[in-house]
Amino acid sequence: MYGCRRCALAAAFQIMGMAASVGAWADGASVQTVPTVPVQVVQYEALLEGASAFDGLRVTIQGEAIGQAMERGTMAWVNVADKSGAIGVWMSAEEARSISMLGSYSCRGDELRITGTFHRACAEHGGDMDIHAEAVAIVRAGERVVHPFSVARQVTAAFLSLAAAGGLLLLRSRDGKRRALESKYAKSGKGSGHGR
Amino acid sequence: MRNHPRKEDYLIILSYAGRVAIGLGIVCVAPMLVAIAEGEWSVLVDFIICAGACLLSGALLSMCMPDDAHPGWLHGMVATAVSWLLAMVLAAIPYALSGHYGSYLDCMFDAMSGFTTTGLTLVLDLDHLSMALNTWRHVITFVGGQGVVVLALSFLIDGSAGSYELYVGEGKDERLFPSVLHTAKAIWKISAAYFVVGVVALWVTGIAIGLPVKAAFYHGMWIYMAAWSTGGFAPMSQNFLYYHSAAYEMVSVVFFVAGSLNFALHHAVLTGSRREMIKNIETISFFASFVILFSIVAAGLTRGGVYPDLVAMMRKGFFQVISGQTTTGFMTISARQFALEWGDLALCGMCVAMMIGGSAGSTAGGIKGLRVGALLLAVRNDGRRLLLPPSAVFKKKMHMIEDRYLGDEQVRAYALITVLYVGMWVFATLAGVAAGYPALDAAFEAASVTGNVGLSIGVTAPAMPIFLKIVYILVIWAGRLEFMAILALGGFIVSAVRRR
Repeated sequence: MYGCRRCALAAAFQIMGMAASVGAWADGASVQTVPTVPVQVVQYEALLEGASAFDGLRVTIQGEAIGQAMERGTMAWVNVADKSGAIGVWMSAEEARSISMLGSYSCRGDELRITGTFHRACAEHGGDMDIHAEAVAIVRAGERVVHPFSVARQVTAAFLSLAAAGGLLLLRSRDGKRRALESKYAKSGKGSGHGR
Repeated sequence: MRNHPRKEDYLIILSYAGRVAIGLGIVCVAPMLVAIAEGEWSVLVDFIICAGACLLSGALLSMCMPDDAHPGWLHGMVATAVSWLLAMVLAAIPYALSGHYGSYLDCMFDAMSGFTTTGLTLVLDLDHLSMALNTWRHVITFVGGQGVVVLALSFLIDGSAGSYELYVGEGKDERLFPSVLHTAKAIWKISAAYFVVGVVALWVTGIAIGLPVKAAFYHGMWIYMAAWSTGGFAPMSQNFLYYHSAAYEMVSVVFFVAGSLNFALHHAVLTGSRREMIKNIETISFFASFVILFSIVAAGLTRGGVYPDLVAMMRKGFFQVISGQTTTGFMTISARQFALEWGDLALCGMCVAMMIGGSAGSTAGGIKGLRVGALLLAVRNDGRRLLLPPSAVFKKKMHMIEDRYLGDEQVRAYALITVLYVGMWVFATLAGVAAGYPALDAAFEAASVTGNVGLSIGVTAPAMPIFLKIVYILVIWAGRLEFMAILALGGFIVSAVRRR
């Protein structure tokens, strides 16, 4: 189910690819264009399954910025999700502010390529699994997502609303009759037959 | 009710279930308001469909009540079990319409997980869920925490016939007032008071950790509802790891620990009996077992060198253990990190913590501190009996709001529920192993499911086998209702089938 062997192989492959790309990135640069040097991007799942092997190494991930950027002084947290999961990226507040869209219901967030140091359990951040970014690049701008407005659903909603209103009115009338019957029983001292 | 159910029996049960469906339809107003505020018009239509289905089916079923009905104990019990199933089917409608689930079974899994305050989820692409649907997930958790039937009792059922049976059937047997109706309303008042304080506290903390003001409000509201009801749902796929904040974690801990305490204890403390906090058997049992289990988990994490320093180990270990034992299910690590990094000793400690759970008469699940405490007292009493002369007399009592006699019959009842919980955990573990998962992973997930916790080691996922999803739905349902209503439903079905 977990494919541990497969993941271990994938992790080993990712490490080799990553080693080939080390040095292709400039330290400390802020938002920059996508480099021309081929970069081996590591999936979140591979990082998670091979966390011990990747711990403290420089990695490159690519994914959508999601939710909100949370500024903490001169730095910020941005959570980045690829198809296999999401991880927190610790970057400068300036870099975080350059992200124009973060993924939510109404929009697809900017797709980022991030190179930085991976921590299996970051000592600086209370044991969180995270990446301290050294370079952040926007490889694709985010966009608004239009959600279709189904006519069939509107008709269904209208029909159900009317039917429910009718049903509730009928129930109200029936409950009224029941209460009247119960009070009649109570006055005559027979009781309605109800238990507790 | 007679030995063989008659038409009248079915009608009474369906009628009560109908009231619960109406209650659920009214609850749809909350996500509708959010959909309007956020301009999520297509989602608004989905919730109108859900509300219409709830109110229509509820009205039709409620009309089934015969004029000369004689509701009894078994009606209340069976109605509770049936109401929860009906609520699950209806609450799944907006999930199905959202397109974020692989099947209607997955939707029902999430609905039952929400109502039972479990917090395990099969949702796809949670990070792009609408605000309204996220509100729905958390509202049904909040409602489920106080009790779906408590909701109906409070507002829709007149509090007379069968109401006590409905209340007990939902796993609550503590009355704050002689009247069940007043008790149900008091539970909602206590929750509403904490709601205001909780949302404000998390909103302010959210802003302080860098969330925009509006997002901080929504996150605060959702997290509060999940925390107070010990639910464990979170609006983002990373669960609590999304926030990367010790402050946010600590504020939430306050509210989920409060949610895991007995409503009767809250009522006692709020009405001036503050010493109850240190005298109550449940708080003593909870804190003693927490200290022991956290020590075991900490030993496991330290031995495995899982975290780089004491602070990280304490933060991760403390949060996961307190989240597990209160049956909340918030996580500040990824599910797979449990399996890959935590080690067997820490996982065993977590399993026991999840099985023990919070307090009886609270929003928490598990065996409950009351039963564990009472059984340990019974063991002590039996030990004394062996050591003292046969003629010696000693007090057999425990303190919960008041001093109570701990007789053999009471101990037997506590032991029976405990045995049923352990039996169900074994069953869920075997189901997990049969589905091909490693034994420890299956046992961990089974403990989470049985105790309505929500911590996951990675077993619960959209790709897991269908039969395991069904087993987990049944287990979290039975665990939340503490078996009595389920046994009553089972007996009812057997007697109905026998008739034919």
